[in-house]
This record gives sequence, structure tokens and C-alpha cells, in this order.
Amino acid sequence: MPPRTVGVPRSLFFHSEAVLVCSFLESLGIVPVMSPPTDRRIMERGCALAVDETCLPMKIHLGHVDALRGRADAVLVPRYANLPVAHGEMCVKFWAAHDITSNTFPDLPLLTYNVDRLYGGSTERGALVGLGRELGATRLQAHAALSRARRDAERARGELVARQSREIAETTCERTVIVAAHTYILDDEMLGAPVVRLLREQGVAVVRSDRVPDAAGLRRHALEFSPALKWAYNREQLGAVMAMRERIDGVMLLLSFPCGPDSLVSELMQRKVRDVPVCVIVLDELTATGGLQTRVESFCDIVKLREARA
Amino acid sequence: MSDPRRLTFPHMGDYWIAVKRIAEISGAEVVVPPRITRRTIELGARYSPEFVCVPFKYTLGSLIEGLENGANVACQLCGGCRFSYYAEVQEAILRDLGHEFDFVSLGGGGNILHVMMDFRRKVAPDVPFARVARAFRHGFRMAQAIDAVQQRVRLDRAFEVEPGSIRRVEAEFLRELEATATTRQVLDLQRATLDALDHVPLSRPDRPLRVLVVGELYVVMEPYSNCRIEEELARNGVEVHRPLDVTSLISHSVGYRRHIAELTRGSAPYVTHFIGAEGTESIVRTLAAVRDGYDGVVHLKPFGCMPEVNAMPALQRISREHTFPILFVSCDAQSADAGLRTRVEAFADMLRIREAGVIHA
Repeated sequence: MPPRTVGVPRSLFFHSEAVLVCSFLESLGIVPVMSPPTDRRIMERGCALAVDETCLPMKIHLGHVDALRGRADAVLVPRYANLPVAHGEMCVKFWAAHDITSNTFPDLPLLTYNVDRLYGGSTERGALVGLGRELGATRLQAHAALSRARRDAERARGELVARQSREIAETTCERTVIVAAHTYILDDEMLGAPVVRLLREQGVAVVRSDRVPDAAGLRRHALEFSPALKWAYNREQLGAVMAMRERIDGVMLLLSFPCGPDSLVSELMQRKVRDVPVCVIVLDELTATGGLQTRVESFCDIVKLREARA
Repeated sequence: MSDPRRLTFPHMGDYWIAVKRIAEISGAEVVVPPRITRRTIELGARYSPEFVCVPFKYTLGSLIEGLENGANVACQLCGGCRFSYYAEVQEAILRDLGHEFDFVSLGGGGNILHVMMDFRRKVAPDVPFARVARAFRHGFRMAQAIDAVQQRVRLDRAFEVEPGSIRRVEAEFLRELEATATTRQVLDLQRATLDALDHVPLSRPDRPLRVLVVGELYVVMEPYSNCRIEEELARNGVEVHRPLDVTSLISHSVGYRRHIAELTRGSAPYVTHFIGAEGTESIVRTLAAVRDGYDGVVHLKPFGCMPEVNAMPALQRISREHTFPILFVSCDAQSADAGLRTRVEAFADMLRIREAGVIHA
């Protein structure tokens, strides 16, 4: 008996694939059950479940899976090994997301699909159609559901990108700061969202690296800057910083401890971006916001004190 | 550049002997950096990103010491995971430190054939490919000899009657290996050394404790970085088995995908996909250790190592479900080994108590 409700943890892949996955499930007559936005309890639960040295977003992911226990027939944790976003690889945490979850919750029924175009796995279409079949749909139904889901996802993303472009064009703020970070950090209520709010409170316009239009040639920009960079999300961030270089007055790198790719990419960015102030903020599971506020304020002060760009 | 090209590379274990010979046969001058010491890791840690994995810090420190000693070409390999990105960031750091040098990164695909072709293109462009191939064959033979001898050393070290006798044979072997000119000589030396080890007096118990070492390749293969944990295990009377060495890495580097598919096939539910670098191997080998009746597993990783941390939930589950002892060790840029020594001692004691049947699963 295939599951009628499927839990979708609000973590990692979710923030970029939520519309796709939920629309796909709904088209097949399945009710997606999302975990609530990250709160202190989810984070603490995740930290307790995870191996100490796991990165914070993966800990939070385990907290979200735990929050879905008993609320759905099965929980969906896909494996994305590589992504079409700026065409590159995912970090190995995404490669292992399903195995980590299944070993942490041996008794929890899990659903998965495996997107792995570079290493002989299947495309996103192949993987999701496979999942659809597992959920009791015919091949035709699954293809149709996926096509619709992709249209929905594209529309949703287009709206976000367009809204940001409009905001930058119409802003009355004198200074613009780009926040370069993974989507799953920027969208998380315990990680990036408070930082973005603090920045806005300081009266600067905020550009999110994940909402700079792809048409700006993000991948090309990123590879010019760093030819060996293979991670899709980091290409997107780096490309966005480079593409927006003429428009921005400061760069804020938001990373979580101990993010593998970011540990290196943030180093390279600091060494190569020299014409605007760069601020690196490393987020961990401590939730005291006083220090964070001071750092954001002083960074904004530096950005505002500098001469306006000629 | 009018200066002759003098090549340097980071240390890992005793493999510098093989790397040096590869470069020499290919006609390059070589500056072997000083052996890894506290200074190496302090230099590396000072100039590295804060929470990068520790092999980055060791190899950066080693490259700095090589450049200080007069090298003008720095060589770094590329592998899986973060390793593929080491070279670019290390080059930026070394340039900001004011070193003048060419940076050569080898083998983007992690495949030994790519490394060879890259090496010829970037280090020895005027040398015929046949000579580079011969150089690599010689280097590979040397690495195989090192692996064969040291594998044996790990098995026997705990049981030598006269302390230090095995160490002496090993040191003699490494010294003579440096002087070998042909692959035949390497092979002869390997045979003679294994023969000599046969004659070292041992007092091996009927059923010694057997421990399998798994984990991330650099901290497994560079003894300084793991506080010489294999010697520590031997001091506590443990026979050490370690399937991961350069020989196994190279033989798996061709047809890697097939290798991974074979590994994951029989390992559900603990690992069903490739989880990066050696992480998959760590799980599969631990499962094999349970099956083959080993007494325990030691899992080594750099602090925050992505693939090995990925492997840990599965390893913990294996340990729990099979009541199987696993010692988890994280290595970082600190060399206080007293704490580790205590942990290894306690681990060995616990294995011995289990073996004696005092504790039942």
C-alpha cells in the first residue's frame, strides 16, 4: 500500500526544490506534509541526534525529520549528487543525506530519489518518475505531474528573481550589500533569515546570491574566478558576487560551521575580492544574537562610511 | 624562467621516496621538504582557513617548507571531496605569502592515468611519454614495496621479542630503497626485507587481538597526523590491519565507479549510495571486519571531514546492532598525544576483557 501522506523536511534540498516536490506529490494525489520552520527545539533535537562534527544544516535536517515522525506515512529525503543550478556537483553531505537519515532513524519509513547525472545515476526527470511509479502512479501520470511541477517551480523561482531585481532597481537605500550563502541558510529561520533582517534594519539594500538571474552567466563568472570550483551552490554564489560587482558596496559571506566547501571558498573570496569590504559570519548552534547584531552593525557602518562608487 | 626547475611536493608517510624517484627519472630536480614536524603543522595551521580539514594544513605547511628550501615548482595532487579544491586555494595563499613559484596541480579526475598525463604536460614536457611512464612504473613499484613491508610491520610489531628490532629492519629497508635504480632491485629488496622480517624473533600469542584501521586517506597514511596510533596499538599488543594504502588507492583509481558499485551492492541498509571519498569504504570494511571476526575497528578522520562524518551514523549503527567496538578518532592540528594514548590503552584493555569473556554481548 503506497503512502498517502509524505513528509517533506524543511531543510537542505527543500529550500530550492520545495515547489517542485510538493507540486509533484499533489498532482499524484498525495498530501505533502511539511515540517514547521526551524525553531530552537528542532535545532536542539537535530544537534542531539547528529554526530558532533556534522555541519549545522545537516543537524537541522535531522531535527526536521524527527519533527515529521508520526505525522506522515513516509518521509522524503532525496539524494542530489549534482544539480543543474550553475551546473555542478553538490557537496558530499547531499550525497549522503539519505544514508545519514536512514541510519539515524532505522525504523522510519523513508522515500527517496537519486539525481546523479555525472556518475551514472539518473536525471531529475528519471528519478522523480521512478518515485511516482513507486507511489502508485502510471508512467504517464508521473511524467505529466512532473511537467506541471516543473512549470510551477520555474514560475515560483522566476517570481523571486524578478522581485529581487525590481527591489534593487527601485531601492531608496544608498548602499547595497550582497549576501552570499546557500539557499538553505538564507531561508532558514534560525540561520540566515535573522541576519538578512538585521541588514535591512541597518538601511542597506540586500541582494541574495541565490536570486541573481542565471542569465547573468553565473557559471562563467565563477569559473573565470576559480577554475577548479566544482560545487554548484558555490558557483552560484561566486558567480553572483562577480556578476553584481559593479552594483554592490559590500559582500557578506554567511556560512555555517563547519561547512566543507565554504571553508575553502570563503578563504579564496577574501583573498581575491579586494575592492569592497567583505564580512564573513560563521553561524553555529549558539543562539545568542547580541554578537551577531554588533558585527552586522559595524559592517554596515564601514559600508556606509566608504566613498560612494564613482 | 631561467632558473632550473626544482620541484617540491607535500609529505605523506614514506612515499616521498617514490615521488622523488618519479621526478628524477623524468629529469626534474627535486627538493624533498623536511619530514613533518611540529613546525610543519604550525606553519600550515597559521596560514590555512580556520576550519578546513587538517590534510590541507599539513600539505600547505609541507609546501612552505619545500619552497623555503629552494624549490620553485610546487606540486599538489587533486582528489575527491574538498581535496579537489586544495590546489587552487593553496596557490593563492602561497602567492600572498610572497613565494615565487610555478604551481602544478595534477590529475583532476583522481585517476592515475590523468596524473601521469598531467605530470608530463606540466612538469616534464620535453621528455618522451615512455620515460614518464617508466618513471611512474618505478615509483609505483616502490610504493608497492613500501606497502608490502609496512603491512607486515603492522602485523608483527606488537610481538617482537627485542624492542625496536622490527623498526630497525624497516628503517634499513627505506634507506636502501632510496638507492635502488631498477624495478628489479626494488623487488629484490622487498623480498630480502620480508625475509629478514621472517627471522625477527616474535612471541605471538595463539589468538592475538586484531584491529582494522579505516578512515580518511591522509590521516590514515601520515603517522605524524594520527599521533602514530598504529605504533600505539602495537604497544598495547594489538595486531593492526589496514587495507588502505597507496597500492589500493591506485588500483581502485581506474574503474572507480565500478569499484563503488561493488562496494555498495551488499551493504544495505548501512550504505546504499556513494557518500564521498573513503566514507563508503570505511563502512563496507567495517562490515567485513564484523563478519571476519576482528576484535575492533579504529576509525580515523580529520576534524569535520565530510565523507567520514557521513559514514559515522552508519558506523555507530553497526557498532550498536552488532555490539562491535569502534574507536572514533578525530585528528586536528594539535599534537598532544597523551590523551590519545590513554584512549588507545583503554580501547585495547576493553577488547582484551571482551576476548576473555568477562563481558558478553
